[in-house]
Amino acid sequence: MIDLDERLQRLADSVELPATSPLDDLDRGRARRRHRNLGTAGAALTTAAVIGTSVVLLSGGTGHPGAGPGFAGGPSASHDATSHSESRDAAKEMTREEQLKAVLRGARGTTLDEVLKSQVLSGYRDVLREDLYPAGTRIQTGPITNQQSGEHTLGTKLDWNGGGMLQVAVGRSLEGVQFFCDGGCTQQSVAGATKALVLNQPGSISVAVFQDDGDIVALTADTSFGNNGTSTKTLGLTVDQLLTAAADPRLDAPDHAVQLPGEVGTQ
Amino acid sequence: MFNSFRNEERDHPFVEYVAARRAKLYRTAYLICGDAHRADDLVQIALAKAYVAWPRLEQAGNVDAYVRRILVNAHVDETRRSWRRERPGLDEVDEAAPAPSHEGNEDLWTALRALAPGQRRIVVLRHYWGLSIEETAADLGISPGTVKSQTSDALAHLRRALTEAGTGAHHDRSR
Repeated sequence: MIDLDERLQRLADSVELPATSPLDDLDRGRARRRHRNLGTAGAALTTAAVIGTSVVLLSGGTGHPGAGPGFAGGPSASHDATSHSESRDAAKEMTREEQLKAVLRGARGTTLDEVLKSQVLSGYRDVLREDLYPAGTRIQTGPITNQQSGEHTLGTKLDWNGGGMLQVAVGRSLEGVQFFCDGGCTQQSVAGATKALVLNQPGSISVAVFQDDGDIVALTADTSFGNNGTSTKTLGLTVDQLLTAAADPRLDAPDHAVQLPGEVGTQ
Repeated sequence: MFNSFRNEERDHPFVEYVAARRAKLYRTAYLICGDAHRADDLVQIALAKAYVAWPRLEQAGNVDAYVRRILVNAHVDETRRSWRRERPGLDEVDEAAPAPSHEGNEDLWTALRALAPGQRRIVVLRHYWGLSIEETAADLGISPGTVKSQTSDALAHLRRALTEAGTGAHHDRSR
């Protein structure tokens, strides 16, 4: 008779460990600590960060990094991370009054948090429209009413191709973006990412991309939109298209969009 | 390797802890949830939270207990989260993950996966970590009585499953 403890130990010892460095955990810990410090900052700093967020999101959501109300730099056709970072730096040159007006342009009666989340989700939708079908006729164009959020995560479900669904979630962990393989994923590579997972099932394609900056973007395209009871015959999308879209650095996790003045470039 | 720390008092001991204990934490998570990616997520969450609380943990001398508790409770949260039920196009049946490659462990792996998540957590804490009933109860935030009864049920399930599988594993332990 073999003791359960001993057998469990042998079972555990046979588990293959992921290739990871303690410095990766250090980075995540530092990021979490920065986010916590941001949450407890004084009212003035918090307000500045919130205003900074809306400016970044407004510029990022139009597909032209750097464009936005009051911004003098002009649009740019480049979508790489460098231009994205430059747009953030430039956006901070807006006056406080201009930034506050941009934020308050949101619907009256809603909270600032709702306005900002709505802005972020609109930005995600704009990026996905550009990456998946620039003609813009397949992705939902109307107001985004579905909003799903969790710790460091924000997402939504959009109508796709007249009845289907395109779900996006951007966060910092697979748990956060609610992406579960249950043993069915394959691993693929995509530019701009350290890892990419693909789950193919009848009528749906799901991908989770681990972007170089640590964000994780999960996209699911499904021929049916369960909540709405609608469906479409075809997705008109490939796995590669979804992977490339999910690797777009403009899809930033919510806490990445918030930066205290002077923190650009620090870790 | 560790030349770039900006906060020596926190960063260096944290990295040393991770280097020493991450393997066991990952194996714990893997035994509990059965999925490599989810296991890594659980460990990442636990260690990130530990980093934030590091000075307090180190002073109290209970880093392992803290990290372990966050890990198992993150799994509890995961199994309860409502958004998980909104997964589009995914089968709600929890398919068994492939057993780790080790001769003779397939039956135990299958039997472990067949346990309810709560019983599986208790089995891993008691029989992989070697925790007492009281320590297990403290980790999970449940009563020692519940730990005792769940342990008994879980072991009965395991014995039955392993006997049926022909391996006849036996465990008799009282703590």
